[in-house]
Amino acid sequence: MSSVFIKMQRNSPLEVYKALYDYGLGSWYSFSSSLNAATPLILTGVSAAIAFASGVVNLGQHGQLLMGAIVTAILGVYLDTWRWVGIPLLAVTGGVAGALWAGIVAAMRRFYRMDEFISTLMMNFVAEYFTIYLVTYPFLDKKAYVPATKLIKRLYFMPDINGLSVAFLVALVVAAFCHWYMRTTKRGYEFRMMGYNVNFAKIGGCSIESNVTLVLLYTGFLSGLAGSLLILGGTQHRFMKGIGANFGWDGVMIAIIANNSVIETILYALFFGILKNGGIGMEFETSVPSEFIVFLQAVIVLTVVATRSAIEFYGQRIKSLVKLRKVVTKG
Amino acid sequence: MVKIFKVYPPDVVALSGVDLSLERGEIHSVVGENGAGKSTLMRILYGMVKPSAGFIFLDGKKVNINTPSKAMELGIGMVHQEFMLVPSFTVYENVILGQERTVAGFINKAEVKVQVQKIIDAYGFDIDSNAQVSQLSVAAQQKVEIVKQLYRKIELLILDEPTAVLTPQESDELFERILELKRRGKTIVFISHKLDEVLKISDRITVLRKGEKIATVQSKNITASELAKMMVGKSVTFQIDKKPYNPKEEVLLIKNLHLRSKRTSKALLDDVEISVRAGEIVGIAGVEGNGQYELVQAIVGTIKPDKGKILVNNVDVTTMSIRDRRRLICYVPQDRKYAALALKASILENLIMTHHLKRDFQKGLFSINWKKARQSASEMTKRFEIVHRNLEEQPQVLSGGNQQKVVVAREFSLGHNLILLDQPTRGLDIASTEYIHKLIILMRDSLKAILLISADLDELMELSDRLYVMRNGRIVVHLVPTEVDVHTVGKYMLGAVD
Repeated sequence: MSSVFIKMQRNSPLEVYKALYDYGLGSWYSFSSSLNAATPLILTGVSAAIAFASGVVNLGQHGQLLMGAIVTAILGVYLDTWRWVGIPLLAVTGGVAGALWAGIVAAMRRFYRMDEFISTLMMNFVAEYFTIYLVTYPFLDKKAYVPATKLIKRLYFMPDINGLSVAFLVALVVAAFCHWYMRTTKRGYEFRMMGYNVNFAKIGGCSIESNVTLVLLYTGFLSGLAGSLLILGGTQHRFMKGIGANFGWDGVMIAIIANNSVIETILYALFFGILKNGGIGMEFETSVPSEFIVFLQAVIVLTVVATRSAIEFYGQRIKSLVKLRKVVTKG
Repeated sequence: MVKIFKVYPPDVVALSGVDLSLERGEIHSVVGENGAGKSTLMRILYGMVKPSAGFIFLDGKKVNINTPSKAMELGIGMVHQEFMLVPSFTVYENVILGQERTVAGFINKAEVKVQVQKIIDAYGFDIDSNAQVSQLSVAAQQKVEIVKQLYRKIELLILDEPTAVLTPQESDELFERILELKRRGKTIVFISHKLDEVLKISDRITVLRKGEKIATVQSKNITASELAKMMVGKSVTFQIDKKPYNPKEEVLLIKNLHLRSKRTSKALLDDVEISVRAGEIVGIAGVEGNGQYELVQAIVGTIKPDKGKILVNNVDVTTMSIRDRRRLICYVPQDRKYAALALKASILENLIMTHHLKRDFQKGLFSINWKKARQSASEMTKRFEIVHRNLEEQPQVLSGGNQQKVVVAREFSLGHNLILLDQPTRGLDIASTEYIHKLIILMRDSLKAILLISADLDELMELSDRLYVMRNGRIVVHLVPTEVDVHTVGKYMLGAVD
């Protein structure tokens, strides 16, 4: 279907897909860049997946990511310590910043019964403009062309292995931990049961309110970590206006396609990373703009979600007709 | 109705080749267990459900009833189990809703009121057309539903389990009105699973079992036990054996419990005092909505009483969290879908809820011992005869009876002294009901203290050792079931005696 649109813009679909493949997967270089591109998506995706699977509507990944990024970016400039202490410390602080940002929402829910659905959403705007303020006034790097903080100290740059940033490995390990946590631990079990049926969990003796608070802090931490790794591991190593891009919302989208399963979220995040990275190459090679990738993503999301329900619906329909035939002929 | 088939996706056969013929002016009962297809058949007749195959003939002509409004046009009306009334409207407003005859967009209220009152009087319904529906009793609301159908000039009236929510006295009253309708030439289809009622009122009876028609019989030629046998497919024993009554120490004590509604400041619980001892079943009877629900919620801890004390095993739990209380109480909630099960989680996950709070289900500081969990879950499925494929299956694919067994298995294996049962057999077929009754008796005989809340008076009379009757949030009387009959209890429920 997307081929049709490429054709309409007078480009060869084959060439476009080839460029997508070459730059997304074709060589170790492009593959590792794709994995790097997937890093924040894995974390924001898992954050959304865990929240949704627990019945907590945390849509604040964007804001939590920004808060994580800004705290890491600022501390990275001023913090003075050894390299191997500094990097984990900065990463964790960024995560904690995201958690605290979500913690505000948790407190509002707990004490004023505000629905986290609306408050996380609104806190995104607050975070967006608060960080822009910080980089435009107090922490502005006068030498930069766009509003941005100074570069963090060079020794805090995350190392890479042949072009693959350690940040990706960190994200993968954290995501794997999340999978284990949700599947095996007592809290994880309670979270999931809350997502299935909150009354069931409540009557069964799970403390709903403290669990919701925990989920918000936990998923806030993951998004904050995503922002932190963007600074430590990415290419810019500073907080620039627009650094959050669409990672928060892409994460929400990926979680929905993945049906809130952590493992599937990781896989879809990788796939979207490949698309994103391939899209940049596609822009070099052909005259198709990289915005086309956004379009392609939308098509994929709609197709996956629609196919899933269509298969279920028609599958049941056909099954029922087969059964009817059996029953009628028997009688 | 000829050769009606209905298959619900994916492969649930609700009806297979059912024939039903109704004669003008007869009362025809359709009986069968839950899930036998009674409701589906009626919904097809009323146009709410499309049949997968089959025809409907009305006065010899083939008709295609695809919507309820088409059914109404043809003179077919239905009173559902859940009433479809607007509580804030008056009786006559509810009656004309959807059938307003207007002049230039205005309703001539005075005229309409007279019309509605005329119908009410003609059939002997004792209700005021000006009363607000929310102020009426359940029985009166049901009458409003019937009047509503009569206003639509129906000839055929379907009553879906009309007596399920009524006391014995109210049921008798309803039967008189039904007979009055019959005298005036209306045809009535009466759905019920209470066999003595069915035998009392109907001319003919059609028995359904597992989506198939077993027979249509004249009601004067058949007995209750023969009917029951046809419904279930084997003979049923209504006999339950109990050990002699010998209660031990007090397990639950409720003192002076008060609760006021925040909105209307009506007393929901008014000075409730209850005690339950080990080795006895204490029943609570009452017309639904008289405080039973609030009582259960107060014991479990989802609502806070304004005043009073709740003691379990001599421990004051009044200020405890739900989590802490659940270490003392086994609880079967009334609504399986609402709170008792997570239908989309696995059976395993459903079975270990609340058990997961116990120390021996834990591994390390944070984890659940899944090996142990799996092991005890499969023990539960064996012990409570839960029919399932594997533990990963979702409860939503199980039958209602098996779903309830999952709930009961989980709660009864908790092993706490107090067992709180809120409508434990609602909506279950006869076999499952019987099975769960047996388990309840077994629990009593193993010296658990059981508090049983039920809307089914027969169940209460059969199981309880002692019985409280609740009305308007008060305990109005304390009875021993072996010393009184159903009608006396019914009188207390209605407030006819004090």
